Amino acid sequence: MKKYPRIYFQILRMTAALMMTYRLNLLVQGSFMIVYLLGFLFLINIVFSKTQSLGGWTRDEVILLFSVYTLIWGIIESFFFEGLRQFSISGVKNGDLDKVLTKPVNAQLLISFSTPNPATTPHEVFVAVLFIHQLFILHGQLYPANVLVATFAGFCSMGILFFLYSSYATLAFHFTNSSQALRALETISDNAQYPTKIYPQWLQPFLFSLIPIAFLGYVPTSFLLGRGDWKLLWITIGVLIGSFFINQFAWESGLKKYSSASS
Amino acid sequence: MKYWLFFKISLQDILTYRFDLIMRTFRYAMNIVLISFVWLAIARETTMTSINTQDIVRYYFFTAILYGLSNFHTDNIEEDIRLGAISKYLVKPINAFWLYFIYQGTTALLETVIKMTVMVPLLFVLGFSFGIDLLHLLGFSISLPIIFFGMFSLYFGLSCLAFWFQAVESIRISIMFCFRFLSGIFVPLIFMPPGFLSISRWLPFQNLAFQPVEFLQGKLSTTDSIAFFVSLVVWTALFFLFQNFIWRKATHSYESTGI
Repeated sequence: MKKYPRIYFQILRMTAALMMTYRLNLLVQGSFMIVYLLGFLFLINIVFSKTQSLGGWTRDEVILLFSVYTLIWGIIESFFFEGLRQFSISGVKNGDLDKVLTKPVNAQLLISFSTPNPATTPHEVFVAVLFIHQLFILHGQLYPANVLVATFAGFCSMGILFFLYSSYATLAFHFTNSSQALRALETISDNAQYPTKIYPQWLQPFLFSLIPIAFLGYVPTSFLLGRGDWKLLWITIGVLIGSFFINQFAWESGLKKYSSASS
Repeated sequence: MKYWLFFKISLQDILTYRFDLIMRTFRYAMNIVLISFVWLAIARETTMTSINTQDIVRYYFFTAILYGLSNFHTDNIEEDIRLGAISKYLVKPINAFWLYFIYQGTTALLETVIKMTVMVPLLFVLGFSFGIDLLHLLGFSISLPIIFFGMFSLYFGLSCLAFWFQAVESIRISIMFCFRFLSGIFVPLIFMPPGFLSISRWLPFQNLAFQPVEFLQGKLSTTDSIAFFVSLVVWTALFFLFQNFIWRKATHSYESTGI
């Protein structure tokens, strides 16, 4: 197990060096992400200029939800999303998987974590400041027990998102072009900045499973603000276990179907 | 004739990967449907009487149809420039701009048709009326290819910056985001500050979503409708001239080896 952090650190170092080659692109990308975040904050302000609350959440609570969502999404993007995206584009079609399968490491882990994205760091810092600022504003609603449960729910959420996104990436085994599935999840995730309760009842089960935007922000923030209950916690744990098994099944069946494309 | 052949080949190519096409359509449609639910929630909770639920839902369904005409990626052009594949178009009697346009246009056309066939019945299923007349539908339909042509010209010009820079994706995406945000795709511009509205009348953003949808719903006066079409055509022409200028500058001293 010790070799995995070492391998990841090496990959991270190489990726950072490669990114520094295109400094203008990196600069524009970093600035753009912060502008993108400011755009969403502006959007929230417009929303709350029309109403006092949204799904029972105040403006400050929604901004906290937005910062949690952006932090979680940033972590996902920094660590594994790009790797899965690359896999869904070319992993099977171009035979890139061959190079991974012949190495003495877990193929799924190497695929997922092989393309870290350090470019998200400036915007992660920006969001972390916003998150802390919102915590100060809402400190009256925060209790140590809630913070602990929220942290646990946050880790469960990241596990769910990893297993589900990774399962979607395995569509590459079954369809020649399947990259739009992950892109769809990425685009739709922009809506995770609002409380999931505002969406219609019939849609909510999908937002807690197939399109898991509820876990990007709503679930951890609900616990942080003391709005979460036992039912929500059991749903989170249940979805985590379910998504783990779905993921295992998806990769095993995908690899069974796979035949080498190269040589 | 040769470009008609390209269209047919592009169509076959896109239809080969049907799953990807369906997911792409789902991606845009679902995003807009979720945004419309946000505004429905606002309409439920607000004390303001000026927000009309019917209008908001219709607005978002129409923008969902328009979305793919201004939100698409021309990264394949950047890759062709970077890897030198663009050279093959320079030595053949083919215009690279039109070739890429036909490929991207075929995708946009297919997406728009699919979205229309999905979104319009969905609007009825959710219990909302269409509320438009034939004349406005015709005008709206005419504006669609112009919107796409203008935006493709702009993105093609930006992608051509790859002749000078190795990585230009972030520049193109930043500009795309500005258009996405300021065109009224995410927020109907009536909710924006009044000062913004008066400034943006002279900019190209409104022409991509807000103005066409307002026109389709018959909310623009005759003068405003004419102003919208004139503005759309002028900005499209400017974007076309922009890409033409960049392309000429780039290919003027272009060198390639090994092809």
